[in-house]
Amino acid sequence: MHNEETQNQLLLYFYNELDDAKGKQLLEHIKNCALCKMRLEELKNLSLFVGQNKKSPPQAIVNDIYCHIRQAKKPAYTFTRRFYKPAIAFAGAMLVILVFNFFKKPSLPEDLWFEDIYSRLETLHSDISEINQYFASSDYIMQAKIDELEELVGNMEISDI
Amino acid sequence: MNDDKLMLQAKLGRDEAFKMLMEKYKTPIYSYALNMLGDEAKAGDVFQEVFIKIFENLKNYRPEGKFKSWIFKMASNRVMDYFRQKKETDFDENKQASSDHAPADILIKKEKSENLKKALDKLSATDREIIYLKEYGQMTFREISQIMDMPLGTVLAKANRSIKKLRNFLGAENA
Repeated sequence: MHNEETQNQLLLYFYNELDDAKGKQLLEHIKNCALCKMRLEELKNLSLFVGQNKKSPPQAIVNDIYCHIRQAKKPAYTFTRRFYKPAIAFAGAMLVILVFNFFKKPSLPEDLWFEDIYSRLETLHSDISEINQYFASSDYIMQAKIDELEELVGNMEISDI
Repeated sequence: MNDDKLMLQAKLGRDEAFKMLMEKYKTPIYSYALNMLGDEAKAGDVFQEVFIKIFENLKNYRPEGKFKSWIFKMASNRVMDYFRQKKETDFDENKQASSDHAPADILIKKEKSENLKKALDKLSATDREIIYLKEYGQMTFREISQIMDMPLGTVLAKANRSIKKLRNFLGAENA
């Protein structure tokens, strides 16, 4: 049974990647197979040895990465810091304008009526001015006529009258 | 909090989330790179490049529950870049002392870890990668097959072949 398939199954079994049915079947085989037991022991020793060679990186290298990250983030941070308050103020102002416009009282018919009245009053005022000007000019003509008559009357003799 | 949630938090600019991810994966990624490259300086470079790349790609990250595969894929790519730069060639299998009849309990009897380390270093980069992704990444063989763009059967065959090679190396040294 020591073909390639068995070797593969031993590997998968050792690393808990073999499904239950095949695992049970293999376990039965291993019980009676000295060679497979030894192969499993080999895997165990290899795994232990490789596991012992684990090593953490020097802290300096880890710190270098943190440093790099800080540097990479710095421009974004400065930009945010520089424009943070003006951006908030601008956004606030825009919000106030939006809210004001939203809640603004719409034009009512009364308002329109008053607007119409004002317009009519202006027209009336203009008309009155024209009439005044007319009368003013009429007064002037009348006065001229009176002056002319007075002058004629002044030149006349009593007998003429 | 799972990796995706931490990534989403980091995406929102919370440095603490990114630090938590780094704390979680710093040892697996560094150990993987160190054991693959055998050079602390290069392993440190890979480690830095991986995490800086993650940070720079936070915006593009899509939470699909595959963060571990993603981070190890990045580490694997960087490690392979180093191998390409070094023009390091894979171990020539033809030169290996091959014996199917090597004593089965050689690995058990081997107590000197240096020998095992030497034997591991003699494996090809691909063979070693499977072992280190398995041990340091705690990944399933299926995840490894996705990272390495290989069928699952190929990954398992390579893993078995690596173990056989280790057995043979150690057997040859013992002989």
